[in-house]
Amino acid sequence: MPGILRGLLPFAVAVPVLLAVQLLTADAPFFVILSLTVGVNVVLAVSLNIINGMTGQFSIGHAGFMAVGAYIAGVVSKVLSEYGIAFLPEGVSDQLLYAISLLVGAVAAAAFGFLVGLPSLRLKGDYLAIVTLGFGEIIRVVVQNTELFGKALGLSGVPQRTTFFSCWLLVVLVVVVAWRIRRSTHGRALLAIREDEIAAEAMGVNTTAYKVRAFVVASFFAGLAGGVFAHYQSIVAPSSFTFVKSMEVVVMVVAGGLGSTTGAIVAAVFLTLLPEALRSLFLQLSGDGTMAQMVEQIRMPIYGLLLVVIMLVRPQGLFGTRELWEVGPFKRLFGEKR
Amino acid sequence: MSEPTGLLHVDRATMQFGGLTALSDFSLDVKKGDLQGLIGPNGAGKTTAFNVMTGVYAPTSGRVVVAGEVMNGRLPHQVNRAGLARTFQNIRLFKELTALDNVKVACLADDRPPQSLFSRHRVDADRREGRFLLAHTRDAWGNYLDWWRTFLQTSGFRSDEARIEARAHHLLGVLGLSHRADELARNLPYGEQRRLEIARALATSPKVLLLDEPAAGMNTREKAELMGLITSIKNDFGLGVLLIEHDMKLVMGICEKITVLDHGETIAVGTPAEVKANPKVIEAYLGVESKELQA
Repeated sequence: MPGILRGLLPFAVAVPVLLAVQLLTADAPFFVILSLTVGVNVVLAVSLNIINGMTGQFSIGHAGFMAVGAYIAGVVSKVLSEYGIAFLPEGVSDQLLYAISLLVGAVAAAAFGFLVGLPSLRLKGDYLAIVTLGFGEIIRVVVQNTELFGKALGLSGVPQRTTFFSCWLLVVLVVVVAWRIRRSTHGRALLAIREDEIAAEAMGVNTTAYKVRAFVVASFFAGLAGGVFAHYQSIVAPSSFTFVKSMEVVVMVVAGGLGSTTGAIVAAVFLTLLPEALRSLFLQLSGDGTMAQMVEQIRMPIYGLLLVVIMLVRPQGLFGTRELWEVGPFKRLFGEKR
Repeated sequence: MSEPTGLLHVDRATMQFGGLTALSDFSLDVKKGDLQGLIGPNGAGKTTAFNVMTGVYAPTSGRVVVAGEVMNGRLPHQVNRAGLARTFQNIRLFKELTALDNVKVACLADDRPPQSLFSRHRVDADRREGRFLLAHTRDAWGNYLDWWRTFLQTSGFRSDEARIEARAHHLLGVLGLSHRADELARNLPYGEQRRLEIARALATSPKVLLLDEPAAGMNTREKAELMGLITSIKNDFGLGVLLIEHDMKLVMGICEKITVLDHGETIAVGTPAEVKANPKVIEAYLGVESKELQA
C-alpha cells in the first residue's frame, strides 16, 4: 500500500497546484484557451514519442487516434448530458460524466491503436508510416460521411466541460506514465526494439507484442487528448484531424529529440506558442491585423523550414534521446545524471 | 530419431534457401558442462546453424530441442525463454543504452517470481499440459497487471526493479565491466563490447550459451583471457557452451568436442585431436593441394 501511495505522489502534488492555478486564472480567458491548446499538444507529443521515440516505429497518423477519441467522447458526452447523477451537485455530476465519456473515447482510440499496431508487426519504416497515414485519412473520411458524427460540418453541441484543471491533470498523467514506462522493464524492452530489433528478440523480448502495446498506450492518450479537445471546442470538425495535424505532432517529437519526453514537452509548448507569438508580433507591426491573419498560412512553411534546419544542424533533435537535465547547461543545474 | 539427452539437441536439421542448401543434416548435442566448438571455413554454414538453433530461421527439415522442448515453429524470443541465449558475430548491442541498461533489458519483467499466479513457470506448465487458453490468459493478465504495477509504482514493482538492478550489476561484475555500467554501449572499446554481449546473454538465465566468434578481432592475449573467462562462466553458471570460432588453435585448446562444417555439410565430429587428424578437415582448411604437398 505505501508503494501505491508513493506512486500517486505526483498527483497529490499536481491536484492542488492545478486547482490553485485554475482559480487564479479564472479572469484570464486568453491564458486558459492558450493553455488548453498547449496542454492537448503536449499530451499528443508525449504519447506519440512512446511510438516514434521509444519504440522507433514511425507513425504519422496520430491525429486519427485523436479524432476517434474526440468523436466518440463527444457523442457519448452529448448523450450523457441529458442525464445527471442523482445525489450529486450538478457541477460534480457533469465532471464525472465528462470523465466517463473521455474514458470511453480513449478506450475506443486504444482499440484502433491495437488494430493499427498489428500491421506494424510486419512493416518497417516508410511502409509502416504509409499505413498509419492511411489510417488517419480513413478515419477522417469515415467521420466526414457519417450522419452520427455530423458529416463535414462536424459534431456540434458537445458540452464545454474542459477546464484548465482537467486538461493539465491529463498532461501530468501522460508525462508520469511515459516517464514510468521509460524506467521499467517495459520501457527498456521498447528501447531495445528501437536499438536493434533482432537482438531484442534474441534476448527474449516479444517484439511483436511490445510494438502493439506501444501503439495501444499511445493511442489511448491521443484519444484522451481528443476528448479534451472536443470538450473545449464544443464543435468537432473533420478539418481538425487532417494530415497536417499529424505532421504537427511529428514535428514536435522530432524537434524535441526522438525518445526524449522532456524534449517532446518543450517542443510542443514552443511550437504551439510560436504562431501565437508571431500573431501578436505582426499585430504590433501592422496594427490593422492583415499581417496577423497571415500567420495561419505561413505556419506550415515555418514548420517545414524548422524541420530542415533541425535536420541540418541537430539531426538528433533538441535533446537527442536524453532528458532536459542531461543536456548541456541544465546538467549542472540539476546535478549529476541520475 | 535419437532421443534428446542434452540441454540442446539438434536432430538432422537442414536449411535450404531456394536451391541453396546452407546446412544439411546437421546434428548436435550439448549437455550441461559441455564446452563445444563449431568450426569451419568462411561460408561453411556456422552462423546459419546458430540461426536455425535460435529460431531466426525455421529449418526446412529436422528439429531443434531445447531442455526437452521441441523448438520448431517457435519464435526467437520463445527459444530464448526455453533456455538458449546467443551473442552475435557482428556485435548487436543496444548502442544508445548504457551498459547497465543493456543487461537490464535481458532481465525480463515477465520473469515473475515462481510462486506468482502468472509466473512463466505456471504458463509453461499449462502449455505443456495442453491448457493453451489458460496459459494465454495467465500470460496476458500477468502482463496487463505488470503494466499497472509500472504505472502505479507499487512496492512489488520497486522490489522487482531493485532485484533486476542488482542482478545486472552482478553480471557486469562477472564480466569485469562494473566500471562501465553508466557508459553508453557504443562508447565501449571493442573487447568490452563483446564481453557486454555475453553479460546480456547471461541475463536471460540461459541453460545453453551460443557464442558466435566471441574472440573475433582480439589479439592473442585477449583471446586467451576470454577463453579462461568463458570456461569459468560455464562452470559457475552450470551452462553448456557452444562456440563458433575461426581460430583453430584456440578452439583446439579449450573445447572437448568439435563439429566441423564445410559447405553446410558436417565433415567431422570429435575431440580436437581426432578432428585435427581428419583429412577432410585438413582439406577444407588448407585446400586440396596441401595433400599433394604432404604426400
